Parts: sequence; structure tokens; C-alpha cells
Amino acid sequence: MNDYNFTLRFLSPGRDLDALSLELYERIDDASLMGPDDDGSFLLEFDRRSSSLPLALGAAFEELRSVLPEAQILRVEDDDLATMADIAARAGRSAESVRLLVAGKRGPGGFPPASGRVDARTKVWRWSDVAEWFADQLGQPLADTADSGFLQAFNDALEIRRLAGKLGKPEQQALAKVLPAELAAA
Amino acid sequence: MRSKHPKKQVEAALKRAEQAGFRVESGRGHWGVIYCPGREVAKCPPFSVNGTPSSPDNEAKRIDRSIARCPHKTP
Repeated sequence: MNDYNFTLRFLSPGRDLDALSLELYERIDDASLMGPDDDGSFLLEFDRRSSSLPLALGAAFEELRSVLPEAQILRVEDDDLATMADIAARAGRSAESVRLLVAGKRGPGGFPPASGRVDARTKVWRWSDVAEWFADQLGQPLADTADSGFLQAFNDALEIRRLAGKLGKPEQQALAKVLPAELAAA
Repeated sequence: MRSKHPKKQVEAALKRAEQAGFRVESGRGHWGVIYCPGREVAKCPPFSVNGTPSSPDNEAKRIDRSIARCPHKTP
């Protein structure tokens, strides 16, 4: 089992942050609500323990959809943050090894800059930066890097789902022809 | 004056938020709301705090992450 942290962005017209928090927190465990953002959308950040990201994300999507059936789920945000300890765990290295890579005392140097701090002693990195550096500089693609294709497809599926309701029958039929048969059978 | 969060891990994260310049309002929604110190036009979305989180540790981590993401915090 692994720990996953991800965020779903959604629209829920007519509801404010306080009203949404009362509805969501009574029915969805281990998640935090933020919003509204500049565009009026809300964010629900999940922590989930699961055997895979697709399982965790699919279940979270269904939870949100069942609690707020009228909400438009826009996309999964790809801004996962990782501490040095997280990087060590995901890369299968010791904390000391990661500390040396970050400091440029081991490996090719040029480790990506941290994107912020949790507290005075703990820096955090954007996971996508770290994963790209491991793949490009060390030739070590990390598990979560392989999820980027899945996340892109997941977001595209959400977009198709959002648009499909606005399309007429001929357009929907044309779309159905484009989607691969294995998706319908999954 | 805000009230104290019933879970000590969450209360500690709220204190870290306040030290970083965030404003915490209790008695809102499920428990309260955290506001980033950014100005009206360019601030992070407000964060709604759960009053009875199933995992207080994870709730505290999510508060810490929102502080870490915020470019307007007091260093």
C-alpha cells in the first residue's frame, strides 16, 4: 500500500466555502476543501492509502460525485509536493543519499530548487520537478513519473465528460467512434 | 480571538499558519477558515478546516502544504 496525495478541482455554483465544508466533511474522510479560487472553482485535496494512484483517484472521483452530484469536476491538479523524506521513500534511497543529491555532493548536481518550506527545517519540492530530474539526470524514472500519462488521460476524460452533455447526438456519436474499444470494455 | 482546535496536531499547524502571516477564523463552516496573507487580487484560495478530522496528522499536513505552496507567506 502507498500513500497518495492529490487534489480535484471542481465547480459547485450557488454554494460557498462554509456550506460546502459542512456537506463534504461529514461524508468524505481525510480531505481538505479550499476555495473559491479566482475562477470560482474549489479544490478538494485528498490523502489516500491505496495499492495504486488510479484506484485511489477513481474512488475519490466517485466519492465527490456521489456527495455533490451537480458539481462539475474539472481536473486533477498536478502539484504534488514532496519533502526530502518523501523523495527518499519514493526513490528507494536513504535520506542521506537524497540530502547529498540535493546539495550537489553526489550525482550530476543541479537538483531542482525547492518550491517552499513547511517549517524552518523542512523544504518541499514540486514532485514533477524532482521526477523529471531523476529521469533526465540519473536515468531513473520514478514510479510516479509513469503516472503522468495516466493523469493527462484522466483530465482529458473529465473534459470530454464535461463537454459531452453540451453536444448534440451526431457529435456524441462521432466522439464515441474515436474512443478506443478497450475503454468501453474496461 | 479564535477558539482552539480540538486536535492538538491541527492546532499546532494552525499556529504555524499564523506565524507565517495567515489569519485563522474559527466558527466558520465545519470548524474554521484559514486565509493567506496575500492581497485581495492575488491570494491563495481560503482553506476550510475540518473540526473532526478522521486523521488529525493528515489534516495538519494538508495545512502545512498549503502554507508551503503560498508565495505570500512571511518567511
